[in-house]
Amino acid sequence: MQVGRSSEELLEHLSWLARVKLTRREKEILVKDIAKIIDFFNKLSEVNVENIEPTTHVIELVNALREDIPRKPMESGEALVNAPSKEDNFFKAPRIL
Amino acid sequence: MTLFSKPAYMLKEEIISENVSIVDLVCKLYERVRKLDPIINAFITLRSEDEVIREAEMKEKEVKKGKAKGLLFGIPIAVKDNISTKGIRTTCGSKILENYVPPYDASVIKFLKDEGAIIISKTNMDEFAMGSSTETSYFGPTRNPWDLKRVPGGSSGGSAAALAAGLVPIALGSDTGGSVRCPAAFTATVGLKPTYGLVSRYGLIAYANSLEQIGPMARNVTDIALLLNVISRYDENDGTSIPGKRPDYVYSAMNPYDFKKRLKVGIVSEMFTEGVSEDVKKSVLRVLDKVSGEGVEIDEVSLLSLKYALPAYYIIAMSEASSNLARYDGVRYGFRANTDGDWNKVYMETRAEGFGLEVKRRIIMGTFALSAGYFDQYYLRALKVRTLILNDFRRAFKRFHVLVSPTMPILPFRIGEKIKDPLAMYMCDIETVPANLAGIPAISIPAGFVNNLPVGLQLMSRPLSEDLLLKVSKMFEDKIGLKDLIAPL
Repeated sequence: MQVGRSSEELLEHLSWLARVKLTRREKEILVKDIAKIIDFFNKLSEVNVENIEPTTHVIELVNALREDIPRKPMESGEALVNAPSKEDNFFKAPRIL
Repeated sequence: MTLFSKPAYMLKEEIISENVSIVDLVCKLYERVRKLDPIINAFITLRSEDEVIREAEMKEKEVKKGKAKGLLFGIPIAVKDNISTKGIRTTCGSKILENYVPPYDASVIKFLKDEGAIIISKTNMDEFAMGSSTETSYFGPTRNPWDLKRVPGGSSGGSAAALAAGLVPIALGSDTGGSVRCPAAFTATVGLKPTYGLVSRYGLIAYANSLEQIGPMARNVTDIALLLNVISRYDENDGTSIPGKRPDYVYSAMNPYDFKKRLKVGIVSEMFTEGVSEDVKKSVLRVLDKVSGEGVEIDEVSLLSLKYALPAYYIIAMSEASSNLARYDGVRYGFRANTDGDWNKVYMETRAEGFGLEVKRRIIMGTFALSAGYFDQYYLRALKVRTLILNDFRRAFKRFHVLVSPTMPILPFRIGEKIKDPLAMYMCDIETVPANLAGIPAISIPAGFVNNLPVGLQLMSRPLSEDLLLKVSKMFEDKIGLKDLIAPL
């Protein structure tokens, strides 16, 4: 953990980065969990990974290309079916600024 | 053999030859569901009986006209609730998707329909597939049909419990770190995690893309092969779908191994040590005694890097999850908190109310592993450890055709026993996560019972060798003599 930062401060920071608000009760639980889970993660520090390449995917990925033939898109009405808030043919989002 | 325990491959023949009526089959299953599911809670959404009977009647007409065709014609199936089904609510076990009705079918659903299967329900699961017990579901825990006080495993616990209770003959699950194999082991059913890329993930609601696969679940190996034949098609909608023709897995499973070429089975030492209960170990070793003999060579093999599989897995899975679940913003679909304010406020409140504690825990920890200052130390290091694990498996598969281990280190535990201790829950995945990190196929089959609780045995093989894996699994199944099991309820 970064020097000078308490678990509470770290959790507050992560909660903002992840855009997940936490209740006081959840904070009490997660502050304890974070320390334990980081300890668990730290087990990897014993492994010598010098000169080892990271694996992001297990199969050899090549670009999957297809012919550029237009296909019928989903109707906008269908795409809006699950929108919690909509206006005309648009999703209605909270204001950004 | 009762109708409820009959394998799908037999039902299919009897449907085509008009010895079993699809309508009758569906009615009897619904009757059983009405009686048992209030206790087990395997299903989140059950399709209306009338609607399904109408579908069954139409299919029956095709049978009578001699026009019935399809590998699963008239076979009822249950589908895990993170696989998108057009017009049928798909919740992922979460409040945030409680009322979400997908406007399209996942590719595997399209393949099922093409082959004549009848989807009857969507099954309970840990929220966003994050759990090993089906207790984190927003819709309440599923109970294990073998002991109602215990968990069915997870996260595909609803699919496994439905099989063990005789509510459906086959089901679909998904497996990110053992979510098909764990519940299969805990319910004396069979579950396969295919090679990464064999089955399309298009329409599977993402948790950790580089690890997960949709997998077939059933009460015997032959049905697993049958279902794999249906779902393992190449799909241009999934960029990681492996092109090329698949073998006939049923043919592979049904035709015995040619023992003139000795079958080499490796016992993975690291998977029989730390944290594995004596009862489980003994059950699995007893099976190995039974199968060893002419043509089968069993030896120990060590994969030292497996000691680090669990933390590497959780770092990668949580990191991918934190990124994937950013899409739940309450704008395009799903729940939105009833609050005023700007984007950030609504976004944060929506997720506060929409996600359960385990999902929040994993998003937070994944955000940590990916954040500035920690990325190299955690995420990148985990990806390098993944390379070491992959290399260890490659080495082992030079010597062995299949590797064997227990599926779960312990017996099914009591509901509530581990839910408050996240690390204790994560430890349950110690035997299953290596296959996901390496992308190799792995299956769980019933190995026996201890105090009337099921024990599962795991077999793993080289990438894209499902044909061999199913053949060997069938041989194990025949020697063990446990299949088509239904819990006494």
